[in-house]
Amino acid sequence: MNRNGINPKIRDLAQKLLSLESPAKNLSDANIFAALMVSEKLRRPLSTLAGTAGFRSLLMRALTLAKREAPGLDGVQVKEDGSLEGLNGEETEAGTVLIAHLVGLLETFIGEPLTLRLLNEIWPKLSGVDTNSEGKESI
Amino acid sequence: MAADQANNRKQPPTGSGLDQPVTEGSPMPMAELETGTHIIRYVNPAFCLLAGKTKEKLIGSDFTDLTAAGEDFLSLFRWVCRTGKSGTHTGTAHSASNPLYWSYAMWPVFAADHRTLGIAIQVIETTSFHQDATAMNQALLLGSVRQHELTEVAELLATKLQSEIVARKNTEAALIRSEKLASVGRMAAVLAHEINNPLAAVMGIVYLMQNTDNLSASVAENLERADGELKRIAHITRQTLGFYRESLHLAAFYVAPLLDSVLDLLKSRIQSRSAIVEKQCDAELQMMAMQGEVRQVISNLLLNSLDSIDSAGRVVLRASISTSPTDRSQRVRITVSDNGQGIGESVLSQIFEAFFTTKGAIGNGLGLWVSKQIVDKHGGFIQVRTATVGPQLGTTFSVILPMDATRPERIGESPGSDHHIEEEQ
Repeated sequence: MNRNGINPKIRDLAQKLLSLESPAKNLSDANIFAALMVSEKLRRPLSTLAGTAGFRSLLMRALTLAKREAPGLDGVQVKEDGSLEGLNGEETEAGTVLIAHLVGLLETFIGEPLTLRLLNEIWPKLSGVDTNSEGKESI
Repeated sequence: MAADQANNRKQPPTGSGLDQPVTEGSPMPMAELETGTHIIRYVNPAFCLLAGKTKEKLIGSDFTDLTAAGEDFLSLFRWVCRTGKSGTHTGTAHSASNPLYWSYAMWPVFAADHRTLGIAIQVIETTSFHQDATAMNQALLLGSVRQHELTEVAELLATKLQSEIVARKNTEAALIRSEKLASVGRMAAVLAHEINNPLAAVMGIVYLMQNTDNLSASVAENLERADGELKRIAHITRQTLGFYRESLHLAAFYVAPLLDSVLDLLKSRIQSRSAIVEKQCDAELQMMAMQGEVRQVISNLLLNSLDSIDSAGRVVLRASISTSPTDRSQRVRITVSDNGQGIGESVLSQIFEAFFTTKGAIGNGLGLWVSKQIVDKHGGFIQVRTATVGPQLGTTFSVILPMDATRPERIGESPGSDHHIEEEQ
Protein backbone atom coordinates (compact mmCIF):
# COMPACT_ATOMS: atom_id res chain seq x y z
CA MET A 1 0.00 0.00 0.00
CA ASN A 2 1.12 3.45 -0.82
CA ARG A 3 1.56 5.39 2.41
CA ASN A 4 0.21 8.52 0.79
CA GLY A 5 -3.08 6.95 -0.29
CA ILE A 6 -5.09 3.80 -0.72
CA ASN A 7 -4.24 1.31 -3.43
CA PRO A 8 -7.32 1.20 -5.73
CA LYS A 9 -7.32 -2.62 -5.57
CA ILE A 10 -7.46 -2.53 -1.78
CA ARG A 11 -10.20 0.10 -1.87
CA ASP A 12 -12.25 -2.15 -4.17
CA LEU A 13 -11.75 -5.05 -1.80
CA ALA A 14 -12.81 -2.89 1.16
CA GLN A 15 -15.94 -1.84 -0.71
CA LYS A 16 -16.76 -5.49 -1.41
CA LEU A 17 -16.44 -6.32 2.28
CA LEU A 18 -18.66 -3.37 3.19
CA SER A 19 -21.27 -4.38 0.63
CA LEU A 20 -21.36 -7.88 2.18
CA GLU A 21 -22.11 -6.32 5.57
CA SER A 22 -24.47 -3.56 4.40
CA PRO A 23 -27.99 -3.78 5.76
CA ALA A 24 -30.69 -4.62 3.24
CA LYS A 25 -32.33 -1.22 3.62
CA ASN A 26 -30.46 1.63 2.00
CA LEU A 27 -29.79 3.59 5.18
CA SER A 28 -27.84 6.85 5.16
CA ASP A 29 -25.29 5.44 7.61
CA ALA A 30 -25.07 2.02 5.94
CA ASN A 31 -21.41 2.49 5.12
CA ILE A 32 -20.50 3.22 8.73
CA PHE A 33 -22.60 0.33 10.03
CA ALA A 34 -20.95 -2.02 7.55
CA ALA A 35 -17.48 -0.76 8.53
CA LEU A 36 -18.25 -1.52 12.17
CA MET A 37 -19.37 -5.02 11.25
CA VAL A 38 -16.28 -5.69 9.13
CA SER A 39 -14.00 -4.45 11.87
CA GLU A 40 -15.79 -6.63 14.45
CA LYS A 41 -15.62 -9.72 12.24
CA LEU A 42 -11.90 -9.19 11.73
CA ARG A 43 -11.33 -8.57 15.42
CA ARG A 44 -12.22 -12.06 16.62
CA PRO A 45 -9.83 -14.15 14.44
CA LEU A 46 -7.06 -11.56 14.44
CA SER A 47 -7.20 -11.22 18.21
CA THR A 48 -7.02 -15.00 18.42
CA LEU A 49 -4.01 -15.15 16.13
CA ALA A 50 -2.11 -12.04 17.20
CA GLY A 51 -3.58 -11.01 20.55
CA THR A 52 -5.92 -8.20 21.47
CA ALA A 53 -3.04 -5.72 21.71
CA GLY A 54 -1.83 -6.76 18.27
CA PHE A 55 -5.19 -6.18 16.63
CA ARG A 56 -5.75 -2.95 18.56
CA SER A 57 -2.38 -1.63 17.40
CA LEU A 58 -3.23 -2.53 13.79
CA LEU A 59 -6.65 -0.85 13.95
CA MET A 60 -5.23 2.26 15.61
CA ARG A 61 -2.64 2.63 12.85
CA ALA A 62 -5.34 2.18 10.20
CA LEU A 63 -7.46 4.81 11.96
CA THR A 64 -4.53 7.25 12.08
CA LEU A 65 -4.00 6.89 8.34
CA ALA A 66 -7.72 7.07 7.58
CA LYS A 67 -8.25 10.24 9.63
CA ARG A 68 -5.96 12.12 7.23
CA GLU A 69 -8.32 11.38 4.36
CA ALA A 70 -11.62 11.38 6.21
CA PRO A 71 -11.87 14.16 8.82
CA GLY A 72 -15.22 12.71 9.83
CA LEU A 73 -13.27 10.03 11.71
CA ASP A 74 -11.74 12.56 14.11
CA GLY A 75 -13.96 11.55 17.00
CA VAL A 76 -13.45 7.82 16.49
CA GLN A 77 -11.38 5.85 19.01
CA VAL A 78 -10.24 2.28 19.45
CA LYS A 79 -11.24 0.77 22.78
CA GLU A 80 -9.01 -1.47 24.91
CA ASP A 81 -10.61 -4.61 23.51
CA GLY A 82 -9.98 -3.49 19.92
CA SER A 83 -13.54 -2.41 19.13
CA LEU A 84 -14.42 0.96 17.64
CA GLU A 85 -16.36 3.74 19.32
CA GLY A 86 -17.52 7.14 18.10
CA LEU A 87 -18.11 6.03 14.52
CA ASN A 88 -21.18 7.74 13.13
CA GLY A 89 -22.73 8.20 9.74
CA GLU A 90 -21.75 11.81 9.04
CA GLU A 91 -19.24 10.98 6.35
CA THR A 92 -20.24 8.26 3.92
CA GLU A 93 -16.75 7.47 2.60
CA ALA A 94 -15.16 7.27 6.06
CA GLY A 95 -16.02 3.60 6.55
CA THR A 96 -14.50 2.57 3.23
CA VAL A 97 -11.33 4.53 3.92
CA LEU A 98 -10.90 2.98 7.37
CA ILE A 99 -11.44 -0.60 6.22
CA ALA A 100 -9.23 -0.08 3.18
CA HIS A 101 -6.38 1.05 5.42
CA LEU A 102 -6.97 -1.87 7.78
CA VAL A 103 -6.86 -4.41 4.94
CA GLY A 104 -3.94 -2.56 3.34
CA LEU A 105 -1.89 -2.81 6.53
CA LEU A 106 -2.69 -6.50 6.82
CA GLU A 107 -1.51 -7.01 3.26
CA THR A 108 1.69 -5.09 4.04
CA PHE A 109 2.44 -7.11 7.17
CA ILE A 110 1.37 -10.65 6.34
CA GLY A 111 1.21 -10.59 2.55
CA GLU A 112 -1.60 -10.72 0.02
CA PRO A 113 -2.21 -14.51 -0.05
CA LEU A 114 -2.57 -14.83 3.71
CA THR A 115 -4.71 -11.70 3.94
CA LEU A 116 -7.09 -12.91 1.26
CA ARG A 117 -7.25 -16.38 2.80
CA LEU A 118 -8.21 -14.85 6.12
CA LEU A 119 -10.86 -12.67 4.49
CA ASN A 120 -12.26 -15.61 2.53
CA GLU A 121 -12.58 -17.63 5.72
CA ILE A 122 -14.59 -14.86 7.35
CA TRP A 123 -16.57 -13.96 4.22
CA PRO A 124 -16.93 -17.12 2.09
CA LYS A 125 -19.14 -15.10 -0.29
CA LEU A 126 -16.22 -12.83 -1.14
CA SER A 127 -15.93 -13.68 -4.81
CA GLY A 128 -13.71 -12.60 -7.66
CA VAL A 129 -10.64 -12.60 -5.49
CA ASP A 130 -7.85 -15.04 -6.27
CA THR A 131 -6.32 -16.03 -2.98
CA ASN A 132 -3.60 -18.18 -4.54
CA SER A 133 -3.85 -20.37 -1.46
CA GLU A 134 -4.02 -24.14 -1.27
CA GLY A 135 -7.46 -25.74 -1.01
CA LYS A 136 -8.56 -25.97 2.58
CA GLU A 137 -11.76 -27.07 4.17
CA SER A 138 -13.55 -24.21 5.81
CA ILE A 139 -16.44 -24.06 8.19
CA MET B 1 -38.66 -36.63 28.75
CA ALA B 2 -35.86 -34.44 30.07
CA ALA B 3 -35.22 -37.08 32.75
CA ASP B 4 -34.96 -39.77 30.06
CA GLN B 5 -32.36 -37.71 28.21
CA ALA B 6 -30.37 -37.25 31.42
CA ASN B 7 -30.49 -41.02 32.07
CA ASN B 8 -29.44 -41.74 28.50
CA ARG B 9 -26.38 -39.55 28.98
CA LYS B 10 -25.26 -41.70 31.88
CA GLN B 11 -25.40 -44.84 29.74
CA PRO B 12 -21.87 -45.44 28.43
CA PRO B 13 -22.16 -45.79 24.69
CA THR B 14 -20.35 -48.65 23.13
CA GLY B 15 -18.95 -49.59 19.78
CA SER B 16 -16.34 -46.94 19.02
CA GLY B 17 -15.35 -46.90 15.39
CA LEU B 18 -11.82 -45.74 16.19
CA ASP B 19 -8.99 -48.21 16.07
CA GLN B 20 -8.32 -48.27 19.78
CA PRO B 21 -4.96 -50.07 19.74
CA VAL B 22 -3.75 -47.07 17.76
CA THR B 23 -5.55 -44.28 19.61
CA GLU B 24 -4.84 -45.55 23.11
CA GLY B 25 -1.11 -45.05 22.68
CA SER B 26 -1.35 -41.72 20.88
CA PRO B 27 0.09 -38.68 22.67
CA MET B 28 -2.53 -36.54 20.86
CA PRO B 29 -5.84 -36.19 22.77
CA MET B 30 -8.61 -37.97 20.85
CA ALA B 31 -12.33 -38.54 21.41
CA GLU B 32 -15.29 -39.95 19.55
CA LEU B 33 -18.78 -38.44 19.81
CA GLU B 34 -22.20 -39.73 18.90
CA THR B 35 -23.55 -38.24 15.71
CA GLY B 36 -26.22 -35.65 16.43
CA THR B 37 -25.99 -35.65 20.21
CA HIS B 38 -22.24 -35.02 20.70
CA ILE B 39 -22.22 -37.40 23.63
CA ILE B 40 -18.72 -38.75 24.28
CA ARG B 41 -18.47 -42.46 23.50
CA TYR B 42 -14.72 -42.81 23.59
CA VAL B 43 -11.70 -40.87 24.87
CA ASN B 44 -8.04 -41.89 24.86
CA PRO B 45 -5.72 -41.44 27.90
CA ALA B 46 -4.16 -38.29 26.38
CA PHE B 47 -7.63 -36.69 26.22
CA CYS B 48 -8.28 -37.61 29.88
CA LEU B 49 -5.00 -35.93 30.78
CA LEU B 50 -5.99 -32.79 28.87
CA ALA B 51 -9.49 -32.67 30.39
CA GLY B 52 -8.25 -33.56 33.88
CA LYS B 53 -10.98 -36.19 34.23
CA THR B 54 -11.14 -39.97 34.24
CA LYS B 55 -12.36 -41.92 31.26
CA GLU B 56 -15.38 -43.09 33.29
CA LYS B 57 -16.44 -39.49 34.01
CA LEU B 58 -15.98 -38.35 30.45
CA ILE B 59 -17.69 -41.18 28.57
CA GLY B 60 -21.42 -40.61 28.41
CA SER B 61 -21.15 -36.87 29.12
CA ASP B 62 -21.92 -34.10 26.64
CA PHE B 63 -18.80 -32.82 24.90
CA THR B 64 -20.21 -29.25 24.92
CA ASP B 65 -19.96 -29.27 28.73
CA LEU B 66 -16.20 -29.05 28.30
CA THR B 67 -14.90 -25.51 28.67
CA ALA B 68 -13.77 -24.70 25.19
CA ALA B 69 -16.60 -26.32 23.22
CA GLY B 70 -18.67 -23.28 22.26
CA GLU B 71 -20.80 -22.21 19.32
CA ASP B 72 -17.87 -22.56 16.91
CA PHE B 73 -17.49 -26.19 17.93
CA LEU B 74 -21.19 -26.89 17.42
CA SER B 75 -21.15 -25.24 13.97
CA LEU B 76 -18.23 -27.44 12.90
CA PHE B 77 -19.82 -30.55 14.44
CA ARG B 78 -23.08 -30.02 12.58
CA TRP B 79 -21.22 -29.28 9.35
CA VAL B 80 -19.14 -32.51 9.64
CA CYS B 81 -22.30 -34.55 10.44
CA ARG B 82 -24.16 -32.99 7.50
CA THR B 83 -21.45 -33.16 4.83
CA GLY B 84 -19.39 -36.16 5.93
CA LYS B 85 -16.25 -34.06 5.38
CA SER B 86 -13.42 -33.23 7.76
CA GLY B 87 -12.63 -29.81 9.19
CA THR B 88 -10.28 -28.01 11.55
CA HIS B 89 -10.80 -25.10 13.88
CA THR B 90 -9.10 -23.02 16.51
CA GLY B 91 -11.53 -22.61 19.34
CA THR B 92 -11.54 -19.91 22.00
CA ALA B 93 -13.34 -19.70 25.30
CA HIS B 94 -13.56 -15.95 25.80
CA SER B 95 -15.61 -16.21 28.95
CA ALA B 96 -12.62 -17.57 30.86
CA SER B 97 -10.52 -15.14 32.87
CA ASN B 98 -7.54 -16.30 30.83
CA PRO B 99 -8.71 -17.02 27.28
CA LEU B 100 -8.40 -20.71 26.46
CA TYR B 101 -7.27 -21.66 22.98
CA TRP B 102 -7.43 -25.10 21.43
CA SER B 103 -7.10 -26.28 17.88
CA TYR B 104 -8.68 -29.53 16.77
CA ALA B 105 -9.51 -31.64 13.78
CA MET B 106 -12.90 -33.33 13.37
CA TRP B 107 -13.91 -36.05 10.96
CA PRO B 108 -16.64 -38.71 10.58
CA VAL B 109 -15.91 -42.32 11.48
CA PHE B 110 -17.49 -44.70 8.96
CA ALA B 111 -18.49 -48.33 9.29
CA ALA B 112 -17.70 -50.85 6.56
CA ASP B 113 -21.15 -50.21 5.06
CA HIS B 114 -20.42 -46.44 4.96
CA ARG B 115 -22.75 -45.82 7.84
CA THR B 116 -21.53 -43.00 10.11
CA LEU B 117 -20.57 -44.50 13.46
CA GLY B 118 -19.57 -41.29 15.15
CA ILE B 119 -17.50 -38.13 14.93
CA ALA B 120 -13.82 -38.29 15.87
CA ILE B 121 -12.00 -35.34 17.40
CA GLN B 122 -8.27 -34.93 17.73
CA VAL B 123 -6.82 -32.00 19.64
CA ILE B 124 -3.86 -30.91 17.58
CA GLU B 125 -2.61 -27.89 19.48
CA THR B 126 -2.30 -27.31 23.18
CA THR B 127 -3.34 -24.14 24.93
CA SER B 128 0.17 -23.15 26.04
CA PHE B 129 1.58 -23.61 22.54
CA HIS B 130 -1.13 -21.42 21.07
CA GLN B 131 -0.58 -18.76 23.70
CA ASP B 132 3.12 -18.70 22.85
CA ALA B 133 2.33 -18.39 19.15
CA THR B 134 -0.21 -15.64 19.81
CA ALA B 135 2.30 -13.78 21.96
CA MET B 136 4.87 -14.02 19.19
CA ASN B 137 2.37 -12.90 16.56
CA GLN B 138 1.32 -10.03 18.77
CA ALA B 139 4.92 -8.91 19.27
CA LEU B 140 5.59 -9.17 15.54
CA LEU B 141 2.45 -7.20 14.70
CA LEU B 142 3.24 -4.48 17.24
CA GLY B 143 6.76 -4.28 15.83
CA SER B 144 5.47 -4.09 12.27
CA VAL B 145 3.04 -1.29 13.10
CA ARG B 146 5.82 0.63 14.88
CA GLN B 147 8.11 0.10 11.90
CA HIS B 148 5.35 1.35 9.59
CA GLU B 149 5.06 4.53 11.67
CA LEU B 150 8.82 5.06 11.80
CA THR B 151 9.18 4.50 8.05
CA GLU B 152 6.61 7.20 7.44
CA VAL B 153 8.46 9.62 9.73
CA ALA B 154 11.75 8.76 8.01
CA GLU B 155 10.22 9.37 4.57
CA LEU B 156 8.83 12.69 5.75
CA LEU B 157 12.23 13.75 7.10
CA ALA B 158 13.94 12.60 3.90
CA THR B 159 11.55 14.71 1.81
CA LYS B 160 12.13 17.71 4.07
CA LEU B 161 15.88 17.20 3.90
CA GLN B 162 15.70 16.90 0.11
CA SER B 163 13.82 20.18 -0.22
CA GLU B 164 16.27 21.87 2.14
CA ILE B 165 19.18 20.60 0.05
CA VAL B 166 17.51 21.94 -3.10
CA ALA B 167 16.86 25.31 -1.41
CA ARG B 168 20.46 25.48 -0.21
CA LYS B 169 21.78 24.60 -3.66
CA ASN B 170 19.59 27.31 -5.18
CA THR B 171 20.90 29.84 -2.67
CA GLU B 172 24.48 28.76 -3.36
CA ALA B 173 23.87 29.06 -7.10
CA ALA B 174 22.32 32.50 -6.56
CA LEU B 175 25.32 33.59 -4.52
CA ILE B 176 27.71 32.27 -7.15
CA ARG B 177 25.83 34.14 -9.88
CA SER B 178 25.69 37.23 -7.71
CA GLU B 179 29.45 36.96 -7.15
CA LYS B 180 29.93 36.54 -10.90
CA LEU B 181 27.88 39.67 -11.49
CA ALA B 182 30.00 41.47 -8.91
CA SER B 183 33.13 40.22 -10.71
CA VAL B 184 31.74 41.55 -13.97
CA GLY B 185 31.13 44.87 -12.23
CA ARG B 186 34.69 44.96 -10.94
CA MET B 187 36.02 44.11 -14.40
CA ALA B 188 33.87 46.84 -15.94
CA ALA B 189 35.27 49.28 -13.41
CA VAL B 190 38.84 48.25 -14.25
CA LEU B 191 38.12 48.57 -17.98
CA ALA B 192 36.51 51.96 -17.46
CA HIS B 193 39.52 53.08 -15.49
CA GLU B 194 41.93 51.85 -18.16
CA ILE B 195 39.88 53.48 -20.93
CA ASN B 196 39.80 56.78 -19.05
CA ASN B 197 43.52 57.52 -19.46
CA PRO B 198 43.83 57.17 -23.26
CA LEU B 199 40.41 58.79 -23.56
CA ALA B 200 41.64 61.87 -21.72
CA ALA B 201 44.61 62.00 -24.08
CA VAL B 202 42.40 61.75 -27.20
CA MET B 203 40.04 64.39 -25.86
CA GLY B 204 43.04 66.65 -25.25
CA ILE B 205 44.23 66.14 -28.82
CA VAL B 206 40.77 66.89 -30.20
CA TYR B 207 40.67 70.04 -28.08
CA LEU B 208 44.05 71.14 -29.48
CA MET B 209 42.89 70.42 -33.03
CA GLN B 210 39.69 72.39 -32.48
CA ASN B 211 41.79 75.37 -31.47
CA THR B 212 44.00 75.18 -34.53
CA ASP B 213 43.73 78.16 -36.86
CA ASN B 214 42.27 78.03 -40.35
CA LEU B 215 40.13 74.92 -39.90
CA SER B 216 37.68 74.30 -42.66
CA ALA B 217 34.05 74.34 -41.64
CA SER B 218 33.61 70.62 -42.37
CA VAL B 219 36.68 69.64 -40.29
CA ALA B 220 35.50 71.85 -37.44
CA GLU B 221 32.09 70.22 -37.62
CA ASN B 222 33.62 66.71 -37.60
CA LEU B 223 35.84 67.61 -34.66
CA GLU B 224 32.79 68.96 -32.85
CA ARG B 225 31.01 65.70 -33.51
CA ALA B 226 34.03 63.63 -32.41
CA ASP B 227 34.28 65.71 -29.23
CA GLY B 228 30.62 65.08 -28.49
CA GLU B 229 30.99 61.29 -28.89
CA LEU B 230 34.18 61.26 -26.80
CA LYS B 231 32.35 63.14 -24.04
CA ARG B 232 29.63 60.49 -24.21
CA ILE B 233 32.25 57.74 -23.77
CA ALA B 234 33.75 59.68 -20.87
CA HIS B 235 30.29 59.98 -19.30
CA ILE B 236 29.71 56.23 -19.61
CA THR B 237 33.08 55.33 -18.09
CA ARG B 238 32.61 57.80 -15.25
CA GLN B 239 29.20 56.33 -14.57
CA THR B 240 30.49 52.76 -14.66
CA LEU B 241 33.39 53.59 -12.43
CA GLY B 242 31.16 55.68 -10.22
CA PHE B 243 28.69 52.82 -9.67
CA TYR B 244 31.45 50.55 -8.50
CA ARG B 245 33.08 53.08 -6.20
CA GLU B 246 29.75 54.24 -4.79
CA SER B 247 28.88 50.67 -3.88
CA LEU B 248 31.78 50.35 -1.52
CA HIS B 249 31.08 53.09 1.04
CA LEU B 250 28.21 54.72 2.86
CA ALA B 251 27.94 58.35 1.93
CA ALA B 252 25.49 61.23 2.24
CA PHE B 253 23.95 62.24 -1.07
CA TYR B 254 21.00 64.09 -2.54
CA VAL B 255 18.27 61.78 -3.76
CA ALA B 256 16.98 63.92 -6.65
CA PRO B 257 20.25 63.77 -8.66
CA LEU B 258 20.34 60.04 -8.01
CA LEU B 259 16.90 59.68 -9.56
CA ASP B 260 18.05 61.87 -12.47
CA SER B 261 21.06 59.63 -13.05
CA VAL B 262 18.82 56.54 -13.17
CA LEU B 263 16.50 58.25 -15.67
CA ASP B 264 19.53 59.28 -17.69
CA LEU B 265 20.88 55.74 -17.66
CA LEU B 266 17.58 54.31 -18.86
CA LYS B 267 16.80 57.14 -21.26
CA SER B 268 17.00 54.99 -24.37
CA ARG B 269 14.75 52.33 -22.83
CA ILE B 270 12.21 54.98 -21.79
CA GLN B 271 12.24 56.41 -25.30
CA SER B 272 11.87 53.04 -26.98
CA ARG B 273 8.78 52.32 -24.84
CA SER B 274 7.42 55.85 -25.43
CA ALA B 275 6.87 55.86 -21.70
CA ILE B 276 5.83 58.91 -19.72
CA VAL B 277 8.06 58.98 -16.65
CA GLU B 278 7.35 61.55 -13.98
CA LYS B 279 9.85 62.33 -11.23
CA GLN B 280 8.63 63.74 -7.92
CA CYS B 281 11.33 64.54 -5.40
CA ASP B 282 12.28 67.40 -3.10
CA ALA B 283 15.58 68.77 -4.35
CA GLU B 284 16.86 69.04 -0.75
CA LEU B 285 16.10 65.44 0.22
CA GLN B 286 19.29 63.73 1.44
CA MET B 287 20.11 60.34 2.83
CA MET B 288 23.09 58.32 4.03
CA ALA B 289 23.48 55.00 2.19
CA MET B 290 25.54 53.19 -0.42
CA GLN B 291 24.61 55.37 -3.35
CA GLY B 292 25.47 52.90 -6.09
CA GLU B 293 23.39 50.17 -4.51
CA VAL B 294 20.39 52.44 -4.01
CA ARG B 295 20.75 53.45 -7.64
CA GLN B 296 20.78 49.76 -8.61
CA VAL B 297 17.56 49.11 -6.69
CA ILE B 298 15.74 52.06 -8.31
CA SER B 299 17.12 51.06 -11.70
CA ASN B 300 15.85 47.46 -11.28
CA LEU B 301 12.38 48.62 -10.23
CA LEU B 302 12.15 51.17 -13.05
CA LEU B 303 13.24 48.55 -15.59
CA ASN B 304 10.50 46.21 -14.36
CA SER B 305 7.91 48.98 -14.65
CA LEU B 306 9.03 49.81 -18.17
CA ASP B 307 8.69 46.12 -19.09
CA SER B 308 5.19 45.87 -17.65
CA ILE B 309 3.57 48.94 -19.24
CA ASP B 310 2.07 49.17 -22.68
CA SER B 311 3.44 51.61 -25.19
CA ALA B 312 2.95 55.18 -23.87
CA GLY B 313 2.33 53.85 -20.39
CA ARG B 314 3.01 55.95 -17.33
CA VAL B 315 5.58 55.52 -14.54
CA VAL B 316 5.92 57.76 -11.49
CA LEU B 317 9.23 57.84 -9.64
CA ARG B 318 8.79 59.50 -6.26
CA ALA B 319 11.00 60.01 -3.20
CA SER B 320 9.90 61.56 0.07
CA ILE B 321 10.51 61.58 3.80
CA SER B 322 8.32 59.37 5.95
CA THR B 323 8.16 58.74 9.68
CA SER B 324 8.22 55.35 11.38
CA PRO B 325 4.91 54.72 13.17
CA THR B 326 6.77 52.76 15.84
CA ASP B 327 9.80 54.83 16.88
CA ARG B 328 9.05 58.08 14.97
CA SER B 329 12.45 57.84 13.24
CA GLN B 330 12.76 59.46 9.83
CA ARG B 331 13.20 57.40 6.73
CA VAL B 332 13.18 57.76 2.98
CA ARG B 333 10.41 56.24 0.91
CA ILE B 334 11.17 55.74 -2.76
CA THR B 335 8.24 54.51 -4.87
CA VAL B 336 8.08 53.34 -8.45
CA SER B 337 4.45 53.19 -9.66
CA ASP B 338 3.24 52.10 -13.04
CA ASN B 339 -0.09 51.57 -14.76
CA GLY B 340 1.09 48.31 -16.30
CA GLN B 341 -0.52 44.88 -16.26
CA GLY B 342 0.05 44.21 -12.56
CA ILE B 343 1.43 41.04 -10.98
CA GLY B 344 -0.77 37.94 -10.98
CA GLU B 345 -1.71 36.24 -7.73
CA SER B 346 0.01 33.00 -8.74
CA VAL B 347 3.45 34.59 -9.01
CA LEU B 348 3.21 37.36 -6.43
CA SER B 349 4.62 35.29 -3.58
CA GLN B 350 7.66 34.29 -5.65
CA ILE B 351 8.83 37.61 -7.07
CA PHE B 352 11.63 38.05 -4.53
CA GLU B 353 13.01 34.53 -5.09
CA ALA B 354 16.32 34.17 -6.90
CA PHE B 355 15.99 33.15 -10.56
CA PHE B 356 12.26 33.64 -10.61
CA THR B 357 11.26 35.60 -13.71
CA THR B 358 8.17 36.18 -15.78
CA LYS B 359 10.21 37.61 -18.65
CA GLY B 360 11.24 34.29 -20.17
CA ALA B 361 14.68 34.10 -21.73
CA ILE B 362 15.32 37.84 -21.47
CA GLY B 363 15.06 37.92 -17.67
CA ASN B 364 17.63 36.49 -15.28
CA GLY B 365 15.33 36.50 -12.25
CA LEU B 366 17.86 38.34 -10.11
CA GLY B 367 16.66 41.96 -10.22
CA LEU B 368 14.17 41.88 -7.35
CA TRP B 369 16.18 39.30 -5.43
CA VAL B 370 19.30 41.49 -5.55
CA SER B 371 17.19 44.57 -4.73
CA LYS B 372 15.81 42.85 -1.67
CA GLN B 373 19.31 41.86 -0.53
CA ILE B 374 20.46 45.46 -0.88
CA VAL B 375 17.45 46.87 0.97
CA ASP B 376 17.85 44.23 3.69
CA LYS B 377 21.51 45.18 4.06
CA HIS B 378 20.50 48.78 4.58
CA GLY B 379 18.00 47.74 7.24
CA GLY B 380 14.99 48.66 5.13
CA PHE B 381 12.10 46.84 3.54
CA ILE B 382 10.09 46.71 0.32
CA GLN B 383 6.31 46.96 -0.04
CA VAL B 384 4.40 45.83 -3.14
CA ARG B 385 0.89 46.87 -4.04
CA THR B 386 -0.55 45.49 -7.26
CA ALA B 387 -3.82 45.10 -9.14
CA THR B 388 -4.41 43.13 -12.33
CA VAL B 389 -7.86 44.61 -13.03
CA GLY B 390 -9.86 47.68 -12.12
CA PRO B 391 -9.12 51.38 -11.87
CA GLN B 392 -5.99 50.81 -9.74
CA LEU B 393 -4.45 48.60 -12.44
CA GLY B 394 -0.68 48.48 -12.12
CA THR B 395 2.03 48.00 -9.55
CA THR B 396 3.70 50.17 -6.93
CA PHE B 397 6.97 49.13 -5.34
CA SER B 398 7.89 51.16 -2.26
CA VAL B 399 11.41 50.98 -0.89
CA ILE B 400 11.63 52.25 2.67
CA LEU B 401 15.17 52.94 3.86
CA PRO B 402 16.53 54.50 7.03
CA MET B 403 17.53 58.09 6.40
CA ASP B 404 20.89 57.21 7.93
CA ALA B 405 21.99 53.65 7.10
CA THR B 406 24.91 53.93 9.55
CA ARG B 407 22.26 53.10 12.15
CA PRO B 408 21.78 49.50 11.18
CA GLU B 409 18.65 48.63 13.19
CA ARG B 410 15.89 47.17 11.06
CA ILE B 411 12.95 49.45 10.37
CA GLY B 412 10.53 46.76 9.13
CA GLU B 413 6.82 47.39 9.58
CA SER B 414 6.55 44.35 11.76
CA PRO B 415 9.18 42.13 13.41
CA GLY B 416 10.59 39.56 11.03
CA SER B 417 8.94 41.12 7.98
CA ASP B 418 11.29 42.39 5.30
CA HIS B 419 8.83 42.76 2.49
CA HIS B 420 5.13 43.26 2.42
CA ILE B 421 2.83 42.28 -0.41
CA GLU B 422 -0.64 43.57 -1.04
CA GLU B 423 -2.81 42.59 -3.92
CA GLU B 424 -5.87 44.30 -5.24
CA GLN B 425 -8.20 42.76 -7.76
